[in-house]
Amino acid sequence: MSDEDRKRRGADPSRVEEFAATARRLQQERETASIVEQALRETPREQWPALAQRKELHTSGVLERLAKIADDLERDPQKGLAVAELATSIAEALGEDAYPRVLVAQLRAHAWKDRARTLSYLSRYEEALGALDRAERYVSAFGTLAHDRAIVHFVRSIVLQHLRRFDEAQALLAECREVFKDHGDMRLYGKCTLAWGNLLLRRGDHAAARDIVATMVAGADAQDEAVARSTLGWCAIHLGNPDEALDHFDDAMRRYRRLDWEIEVIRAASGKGCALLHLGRLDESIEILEDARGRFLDRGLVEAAGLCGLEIVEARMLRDEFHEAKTLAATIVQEFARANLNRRAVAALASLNEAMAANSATPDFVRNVHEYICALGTDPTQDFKNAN
Amino acid sequence: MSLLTSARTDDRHFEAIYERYFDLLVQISVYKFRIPDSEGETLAHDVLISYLRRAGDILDVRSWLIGAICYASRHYWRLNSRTVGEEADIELDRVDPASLRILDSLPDQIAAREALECLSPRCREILEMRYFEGCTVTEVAERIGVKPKYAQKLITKCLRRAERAYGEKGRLR
Repeated sequence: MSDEDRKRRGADPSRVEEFAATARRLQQERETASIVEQALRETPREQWPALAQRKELHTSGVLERLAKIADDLERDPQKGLAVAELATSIAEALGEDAYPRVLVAQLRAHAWKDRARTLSYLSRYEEALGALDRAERYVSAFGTLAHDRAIVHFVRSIVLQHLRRFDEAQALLAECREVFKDHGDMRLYGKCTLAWGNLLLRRGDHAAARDIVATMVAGADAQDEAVARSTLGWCAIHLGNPDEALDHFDDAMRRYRRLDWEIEVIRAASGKGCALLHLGRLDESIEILEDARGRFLDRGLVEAAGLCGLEIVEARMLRDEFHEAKTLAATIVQEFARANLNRRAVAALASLNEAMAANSATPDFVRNVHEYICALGTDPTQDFKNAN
Repeated sequence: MSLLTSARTDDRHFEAIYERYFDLLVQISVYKFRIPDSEGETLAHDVLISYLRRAGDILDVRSWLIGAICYASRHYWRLNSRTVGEEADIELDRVDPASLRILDSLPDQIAAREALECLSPRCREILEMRYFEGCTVTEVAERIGVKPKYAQKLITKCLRRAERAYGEKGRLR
């Protein structure tokens, strides 16, 4: 193609004007979006759905602000969901010609995607998938929204992981990574890489998980680096490198504290306790794990607390504190049963409990039960092999 | 800075982005992906509009826009190939209206071949297939690996070039 053929095209002035006017409008709407925060403050939560009727809230700026509020899931996931529901109502109420069509599609798709994220956080996975279907319908209509579509797919891959549909999740992550890379979006590319690493970790492919996560640590932002350190810590534990794991978990805890991600601080602390157990530093391990277990229980995270408890049982047995170990094992099985957790997990804990009562349990048996309960996360139907 | 001044600055900033990238995006869609001109311009406009909502998150504007236009162009052809299939060959195997005048004006095969010599190898190949080998538009499309609609467009474009080249040769004689 000669240079003559590739004549420079002047942009249509009316299109430039539409672009500039849209840019100006979005900017102005961002500046006035605080009205929605005021509306939320002044309205009881049960009446928030009615706010969708207020025309002055039907703006892109308000939707962006609601997305930010809904994003704060750590503190109050129920509030996050209520806000995300309001956002989808507002997005659906927007006129078809309120903005250029492609922008209306973007606004609606992201509102549904955010709703899916909050539903997923509350373990309402099927509803989350339904919300993602809605989001995808909007972005699929426009080829120009490939990046937005990849974001929707990224959230879907996370929901699918929770539903243990790992192959589908992995395929979506591979696709998203490619799209983000093609758009030069290295931030989301990094997040995708991290999600991929975590997926491999959950599937038990620890070496592959370590290799893929290690590649993205250097360029990661504060949040991703914290998650990456924690993932690398668990990889190191499973690969038999507790010293390395200890460093990663210490680093992850510092980073999570800076981010004020309290639950993740506790998870990283439980990882540190586990690393210390593997190193034979039993006193320190028990102290950290007991603290983490208590904090998990305070937040109703029974399974995480139970897993911490099993580590403590193992540590106590290694210290010949059988009575304490026996009492704790009995408590854990009761907690699991009360919380209606996986029946297979309860059965495995019960067999541990029986072995403890008969003084025939070994630390290896405790570890088997721990690993089995973790593995139920990947395959909830697998049977427990009692190898005590 | 007052809001008004700020708005003007934003306007200039966004207009500058539009003017800076619009042409690049159209060139990619038209020349790399062979999207018809007007469609390529619409895609470029939509890409730039969709950029606005994400402007705050995008660090590398150029890469993002190029990625977006590439995906949009591929999507265009995915949709277009379906609609072309439905239209079948109703229009495509007729003699191109644009070519009648040119063919009539070519006094003989030799002159036509001389005109073809002045064209790019791709244009020469396309016109030879269509007018010397007697291929239908659909057959041309299959042989050069494009959609029939686009093959039709290429044939017309190459014929116009041939016409220009033939005219210049005539003047030289």
